[in-house]
Amino acid sequence: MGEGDADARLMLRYAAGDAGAFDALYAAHRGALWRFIRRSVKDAAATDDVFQECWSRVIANRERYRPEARFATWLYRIAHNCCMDHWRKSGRRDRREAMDDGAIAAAADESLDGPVEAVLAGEASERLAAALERLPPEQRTAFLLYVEGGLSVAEIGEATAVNPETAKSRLRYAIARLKQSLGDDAPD
Amino acid sequence: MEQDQEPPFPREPWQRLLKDRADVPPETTDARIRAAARKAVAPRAARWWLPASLAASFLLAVLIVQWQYGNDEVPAVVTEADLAPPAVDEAPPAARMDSAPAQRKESPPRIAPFERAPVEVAPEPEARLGGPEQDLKAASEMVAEETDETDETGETDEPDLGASLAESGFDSREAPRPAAAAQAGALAKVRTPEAWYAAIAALRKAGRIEEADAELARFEAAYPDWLKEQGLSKP
Repeated sequence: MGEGDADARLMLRYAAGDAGAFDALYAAHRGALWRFIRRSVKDAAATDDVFQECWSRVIANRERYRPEARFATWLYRIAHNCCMDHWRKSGRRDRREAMDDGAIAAAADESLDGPVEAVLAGEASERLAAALERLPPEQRTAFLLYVEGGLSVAEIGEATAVNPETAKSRLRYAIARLKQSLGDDAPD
Repeated sequence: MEQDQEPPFPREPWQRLLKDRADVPPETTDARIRAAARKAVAPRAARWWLPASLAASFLLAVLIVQWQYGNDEVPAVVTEADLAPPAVDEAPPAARMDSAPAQRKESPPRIAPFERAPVEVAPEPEARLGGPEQDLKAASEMVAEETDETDETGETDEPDLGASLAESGFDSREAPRPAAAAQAGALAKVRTPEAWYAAIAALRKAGRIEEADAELARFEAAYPDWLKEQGLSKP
């Protein structure tokens, strides 16, 4: 694939030396990628580090990029690997698994900029953030890749190095748990 | 790539909920990443100077070495002839100048200082002398001793060089340079014809044929019948 992928063409142009193409790519993906990483690693400072590391790898590997898959798939595979590296280095993944719901909710609250923003963000968003924190990392990653990254089930499987059936299963479990946590506020 | 036939659930409502958090990277992070991206693809025009400077240094070194050794004409192999005392050149200066390039072509390049050494019979370290050189040195020493015998008035009890040369049939039109004349005189002053004969033989043995021939001519002029009397052939 990749022939019709505008992002892939931008990436190829950037690899050929067009810095403007990178700016366009970055603008298109920065928000979603930031949120994906932030919800994956949770720690604000670590989010910044992992986010920069992810784009650094994109820049460093620009000449190796081949449009065999969608650019977003390649980008989120790099992001997922960066998160995994972060978890390995910090040893935090295990602790995250062991966190109780209260601690996770409190940690989710920490990411709010202030009380006014918290009110504006809405209760549903708060509960979704907390519910996301409670998900097992694999299901959370699958959910975020699907919603924030816009990846298909097959692309999620490719990005996380599992087969599409496993990816689909993780996604279904994730959405079921999130709906259960949000109750009536869950989207249809 | 395989596309999902049936999406598990719609993304948009969930995206809206997540985006409500308005999480975006800080501007400083944006600026840092964009700068890194631009730097990575910036033209590397400044990298030319390294190979250029290396090439220039190498070329300069080669030129210096060529200039140095080209002027000195350092021989590839230093032969015994290079170490021998300078030959008595009997050719006129003009002829020597003409023949100089040809000599350079025929013989291996010689070290300039040896070529330009004084033409006088210069004292050489004993280790370098042997055979004819030693004979010549002995003759020179004899001359020196005789010069020492010169009294304060400047008179000597021996005939002067001109007289000696005239006596030996020396032709002034073919006059060698002063140093060569001194050497010829030195040989002529070898008192005994036996020593002179031996010196001429030594010159010939050393390959200095022209000098040996010239010396033989002087010898025969000085002692026309000596060879016959002794029953000797020309050295």
